[in-house]
Amino acid sequence: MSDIVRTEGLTKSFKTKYGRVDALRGIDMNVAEGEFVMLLGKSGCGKSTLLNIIGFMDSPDGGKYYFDGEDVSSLSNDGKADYRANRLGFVFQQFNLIFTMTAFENVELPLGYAGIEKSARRARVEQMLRKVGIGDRADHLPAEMSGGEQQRCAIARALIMEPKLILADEPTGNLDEDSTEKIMQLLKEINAGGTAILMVTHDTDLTVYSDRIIKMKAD
Amino acid sequence: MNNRRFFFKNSLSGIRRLRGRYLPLGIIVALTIAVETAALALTAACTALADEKYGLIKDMPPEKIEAEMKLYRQISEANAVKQVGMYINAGAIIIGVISVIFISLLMQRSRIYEVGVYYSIGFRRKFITRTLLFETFVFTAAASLTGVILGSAALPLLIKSGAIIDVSEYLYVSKTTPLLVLGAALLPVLIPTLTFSRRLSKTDPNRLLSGEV
Repeated sequence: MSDIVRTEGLTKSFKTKYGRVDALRGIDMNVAEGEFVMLLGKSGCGKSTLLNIIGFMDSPDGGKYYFDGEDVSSLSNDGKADYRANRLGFVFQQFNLIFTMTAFENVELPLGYAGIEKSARRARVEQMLRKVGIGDRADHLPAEMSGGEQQRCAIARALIMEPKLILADEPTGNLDEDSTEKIMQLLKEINAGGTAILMVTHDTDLTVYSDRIIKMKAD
Repeated sequence: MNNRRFFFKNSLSGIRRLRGRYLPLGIIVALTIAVETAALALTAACTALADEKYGLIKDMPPEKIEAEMKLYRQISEANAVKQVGMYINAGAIIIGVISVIFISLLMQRSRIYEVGVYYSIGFRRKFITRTLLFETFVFTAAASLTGVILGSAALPLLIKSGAIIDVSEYLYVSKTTPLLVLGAALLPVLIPTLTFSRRLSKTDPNRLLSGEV
């Protein structure tokens, strides 16, 4: 099976008032198509930095990054935005929904931006909301939904463009035990449908859902 | 731009969704423009009245001294009102511009998170900047138009109440006034919006999402 994500010697450092801090030093990793990979590690070990680079939210200082076989190490801002819009979905710990939009409108956003017709948008959004189990919450604002439902809505938005890869940054970090299990089951179902998932977590109990674990260490 | 129809729909829906946040800006713009419109029309009418009376004095025979004195009094009154009108106009512009810049910046700041969400789901930076500018333009233009209507309606009422000199014969609607006041309202709104959205477009999306800007 070919790799959807592959990195070779990826480096990233940040300037702080105390000097330069290396967040990533020569990271070689891969995620195969349809694989569920978990990125484990303590706080500050660079998990989120790596996820941000893979998710085109940040750029590496050095090394190579291949997405679906293409070298994307030095894309322009517009190029990165196009990858985020069409090729992958991002699920965040804080859900990152727009508070003044309903669940339907939040999930519809990427489709509208992609120029998809209204009737097709409606059908796809309704189907997606049903798929993630919040079909009856379409007209609700995020504030009117529970944490688990908000995360389902965020997952629906990440999936709506049918990406090959979902990146999830501590998606259950703000949820209770019951909601965590439901969200993990949902991610597992999505993965079973052929979508690769790269998930950052520090919760070792969740590793049972993954096909493979990548451990990161802080020096 | 990926989709023009989506751009307009999204921008207009932004105004609808955020009307509560836009409202203080709209009120300030409408009031400033109303005062400016009324003051501009008043000063123009006073100038026209004074010019006409000067013309009458020039052609008047020397024995009509009383009539001449009356005309001078009218001119003096018109000039005084004109001066007050100019002060009000200047004051409205200064207070209006400062308030509008301040409120525009506050409003844009309140949208940092939303801009971060747009970036994170793949909206291009230019698209977001244009959306913010378009929303602000539409809202400010609507508020300015309301201000022009309010100002135009308030001045005749003020004259009728006897609070100021009767210049109703000299009032006329200049075609350039609405354009002038619209320009005066748009500049202080659009410049901070443009500056702020350009700054946001250079910021790391993660920092936008966490509000660290």
